[in-house]
Amino acid sequence: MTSSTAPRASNARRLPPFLLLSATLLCPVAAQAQAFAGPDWTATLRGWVAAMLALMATVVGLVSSLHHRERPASFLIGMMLSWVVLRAAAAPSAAGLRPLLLTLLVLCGVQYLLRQMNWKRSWIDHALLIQCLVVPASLLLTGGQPGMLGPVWQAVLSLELVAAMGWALWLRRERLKAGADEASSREFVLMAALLLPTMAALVAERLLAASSDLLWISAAPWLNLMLPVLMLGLGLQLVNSVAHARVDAEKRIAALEQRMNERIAEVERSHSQLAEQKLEQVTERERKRIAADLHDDLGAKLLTIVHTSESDRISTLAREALEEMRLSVRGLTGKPVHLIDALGDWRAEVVSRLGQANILAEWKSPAEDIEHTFQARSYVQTTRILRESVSNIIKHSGATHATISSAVQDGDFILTIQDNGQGIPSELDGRLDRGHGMASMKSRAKQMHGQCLVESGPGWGTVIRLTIPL
Amino acid sequence: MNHILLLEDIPEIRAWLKALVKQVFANAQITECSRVQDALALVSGQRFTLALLDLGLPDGSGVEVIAALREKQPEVQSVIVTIHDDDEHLFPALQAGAFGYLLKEQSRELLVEQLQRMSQGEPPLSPSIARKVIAYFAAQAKPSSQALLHEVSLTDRETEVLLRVAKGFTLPEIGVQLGLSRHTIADYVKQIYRKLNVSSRAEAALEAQRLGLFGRN
Repeated sequence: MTSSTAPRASNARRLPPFLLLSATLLCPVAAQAQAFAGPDWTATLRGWVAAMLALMATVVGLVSSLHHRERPASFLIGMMLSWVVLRAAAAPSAAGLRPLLLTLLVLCGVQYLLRQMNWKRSWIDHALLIQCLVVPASLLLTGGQPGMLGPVWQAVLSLELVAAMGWALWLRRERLKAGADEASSREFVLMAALLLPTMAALVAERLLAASSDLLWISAAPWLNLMLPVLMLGLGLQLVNSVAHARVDAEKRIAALEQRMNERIAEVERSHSQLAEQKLEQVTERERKRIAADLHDDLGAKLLTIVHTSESDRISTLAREALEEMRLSVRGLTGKPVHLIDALGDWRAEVVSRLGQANILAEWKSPAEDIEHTFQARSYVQTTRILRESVSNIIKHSGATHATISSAVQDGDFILTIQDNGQGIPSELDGRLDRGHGMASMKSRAKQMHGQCLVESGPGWGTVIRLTIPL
Repeated sequence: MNHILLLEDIPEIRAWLKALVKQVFANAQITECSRVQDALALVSGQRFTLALLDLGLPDGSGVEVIAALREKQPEVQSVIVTIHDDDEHLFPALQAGAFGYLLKEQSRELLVEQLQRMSQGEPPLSPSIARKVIAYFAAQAKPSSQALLHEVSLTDRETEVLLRVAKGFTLPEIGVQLGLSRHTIADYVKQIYRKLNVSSRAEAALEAQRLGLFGRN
């Protein structure tokens, strides 16, 4: 009874009582082993094996008490301790205890093998417990006489163990088929190496016991040792698997740490992205606020100058200042202008202005698949140059026809404005008069790192060639 | 006979605009105001034929007046007169139902001519606004947008006119290219403006509905 309560308590975190039990068992068993030293060497061997088992039970108990997942190990401990006590109870006075210990050993063995494979059936649990009562009871009732009952029960118990081992191996093989990895196939080989000889030994022992007494007496001590050896093997396997589990856990922790670091880096990245977005939003809002203020205040004043000034020159300057203000406000975002869009804007303005002045306008654009863009400032400067040259055509040239053509060539945008007017009078050629604004057109082109060439002769019309790098 | 509403907060510019309007519409009666609230009060009390509205005003935006006119006197032509030449300001005003816009800094001659054209029913449409309208309706035609918005879509002809405007062709030029009269082209443009307004209102209704549904939950 003492050994059956020990395994059940072993899952607690505190030091389980079976440890005390196995520790106290260890001394007499070792003493017994010493005592038998001498002629009966098999007894000595068994004594040592029993001592090892008691030690192993202690180790397994220590390991499994700390690991919840190793709970089935309590059955292994039960099995070991049962065997140890069985050996210790070799004296004839303890003969009544032996059947109980034997059934307990079988119970623990069967449960350990099956639960290790997560195979649990309540009827087996019940049947094994009932067996623990029935076997000793039936033997007690027959008065412990050496009759047929003893060998029959022994055979039944052995067969139960053999069946459990066979079934455990089968389950392991099935699991291996479902999904094999290196560790589990190695474990299968190990288990087969442990279980198959034990099964053979158990069967052989029973067969020998049934057939020949003489052979049984000489072979039984050897065959009997298979079971404790199996238990030692199972114990070592358990300790080994716990050690492996720890290595795995360390690897997992390392992987987890790495993943966590990655996540932290990701969060930091997205945080900085968010901050950037926020900054952009704030900048955009501020830009709009400044724009609104400038338009409301500076813009309104410039506009008043544009429309109340007596001088054309001052109105033009005020108008340009207004444009400049807008550009500065917009320039904060610095959005480039698509050349194709710019051409659309220019065409609409030039053609309608020339049309109003009854000048026939001809517009030649490059092919439609141009994908170049203009800097916002270049766009505004080019617009001014174009506007100025159209004004010149309307005001001064007396032309009836104007051709505006544009092209993209070697990374340059080329705009040619040609009219059939009277050309620039030769007396103006030297000083490039203010009214025609040629000087300002040229300086604007220079600001864009471009070039503005004016070709003109009296009666020949005027050609303005503007080249701007894109 | 003509009653014109003039909303402008800067006195000098208002005076200049008034003179300009007088030049185009000699017999018109002109009512001036400088605040959105005053304009809204006037709109609910008097009948107008034309409204010239500034956008940025001390107590709000001229867009509010456009919306009020759209509701109470839909026959009135609302024209924005503004210092802002960017789509960010002009497009919402057109969506609210404006018939066109004038830029304040333009020369007197150009403004007079544009006003005259508008009075003859020819709304102005710049290439950049045309591009914006195309993009707007293209976004609405996407399968992901609400079904109700699909009903307000441009016809092929209207899209064709917009594409040509975007490339810088003038309305008379497009008329010649498509073999249509000036009036027909002007009608297309008016129809485009109308659809822009209807569509943006449908969009607003959907948005309100969506918010309402969320509110009930």
